Amino acid sequence: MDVEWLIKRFKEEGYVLDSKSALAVFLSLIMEKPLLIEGPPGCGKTELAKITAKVLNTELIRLQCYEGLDSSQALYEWDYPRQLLELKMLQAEELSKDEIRKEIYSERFLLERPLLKALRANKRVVLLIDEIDRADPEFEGFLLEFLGEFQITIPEMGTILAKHKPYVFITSNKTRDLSDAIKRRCLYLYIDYPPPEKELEIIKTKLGNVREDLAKDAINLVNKIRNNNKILHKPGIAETLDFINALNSLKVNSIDENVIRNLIGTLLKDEEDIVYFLGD
Amino acid sequence: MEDLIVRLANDLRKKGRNVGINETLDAIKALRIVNTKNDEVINHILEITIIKDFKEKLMTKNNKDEKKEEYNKNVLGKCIYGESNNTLFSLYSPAEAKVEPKMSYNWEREKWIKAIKNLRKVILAIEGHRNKKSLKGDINLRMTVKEETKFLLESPRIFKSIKKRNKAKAVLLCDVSGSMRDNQDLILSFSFYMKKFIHRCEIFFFSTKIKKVTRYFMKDNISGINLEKIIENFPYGGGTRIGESLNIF
Repeated sequence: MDVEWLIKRFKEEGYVLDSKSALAVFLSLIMEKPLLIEGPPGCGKTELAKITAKVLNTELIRLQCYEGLDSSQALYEWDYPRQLLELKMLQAEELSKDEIRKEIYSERFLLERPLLKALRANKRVVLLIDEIDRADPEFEGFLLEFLGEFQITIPEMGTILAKHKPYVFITSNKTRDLSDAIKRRCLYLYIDYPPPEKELEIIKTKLGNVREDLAKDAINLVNKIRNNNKILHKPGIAETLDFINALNSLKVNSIDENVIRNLIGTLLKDEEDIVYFLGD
Repeated sequence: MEDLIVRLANDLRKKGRNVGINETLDAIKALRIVNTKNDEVINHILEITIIKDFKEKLMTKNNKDEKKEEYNKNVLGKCIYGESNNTLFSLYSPAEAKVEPKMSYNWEREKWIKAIKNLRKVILAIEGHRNKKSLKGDINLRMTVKEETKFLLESPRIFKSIKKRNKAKAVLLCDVSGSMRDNQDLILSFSFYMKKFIHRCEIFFFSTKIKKVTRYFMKDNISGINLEKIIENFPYGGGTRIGESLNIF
């Protein structure tokens, strides 16, 4: 595996990978370090992890972060109702307290959540920790042991080391700064909106038959919106694809004001932005 | 090459990026793996392994002279704050102020970060922002059952707690009526950095009506926020209704 091979395989899977991103993914895979990917929404951060799993022909385990996420949703939880039932049954048998304790804190009652699942997988998997900036800063602290040592500690069972180190991808929309401790444990990649040439290549890869002049006009329009500071919610790559798909579906030959007015909903998803852009 | 990397790490440390030893080792290891003499690739490797998001900050520092603007708003100062029921309520009115505001929109990023981090310290020191177990709360069945399993169904304790609520750690209520027009840059910087560095901070703007605007400040770059457009939604033709807005809040 080398950088060129990655670019080629990603393209086969429909993802146009630039050389810098390819280098970051390559180093992350070879050095077995988590890759922290930052960038605006809709520029392909999550997709990068998904396609990596496809390219490596392995499972993708995803942990979607949100405010209030804690270890019981990210790591593991004991199955308390089943433990209680088991406890009742064991009490009928004449077992010592230690034996009962050992039994009810066995793996049978452990509910795996994404992080533990990734550590105990029988082969190397891709673990995607998506939108970490949405989670509380305390959760970052909790991730440090996992990212640094690829191990976790369950008080009742001890430390669990990864059978096979997962390939970890962490994405962030940069709505807040992450801690230095997290950044130190990861390689770093910033993905921005693609330049027009790359976006055209993405469109050709994703949509196949598309008129180049029409695609170029669409990209110009999208970039005009992205460069307009007064637009609050900028369109991502998915929105560009939706717009061109809509043009194809409606068999539109050129982009005029009427077409923009009818299809602006595919690019802008905020009423205030739409009103501003259309000048109403 | 190793010497150069170590020197780069030291230089970055001097400029404020806290480079760890592991990151230096990562950079050396990555350069050995890729084994290239292409400057562009070497730059990319250093960005990925050791410089990381500090590149943006370095660039900001280099451009600081271009961004320097004269701050000539000699506003008066009035700062009121009161403390009750574990809530600190602070009010600052630039129009009535007798001293120059301590914060200014043409501050460098680092200065804002320092100021907001100090503010965060004040906010976090206020009692009641962390959840506590309560003897007066409802029985927490989950914690109690969890404890039962440890004591073989003979736990001597019943846990009580108050239901956890996702409280905002800080709330910024900002008057955006006509009288504040001269302070828009200050509002923009303060709101942006407050959202960025104080977790679970909520921002509300008000004039004749009050509206939550937090989502507009969830951007990675201050230049991506158009304050004028946000404020357009707050008419103040009939006069500002501060009391009514606060009451609704």
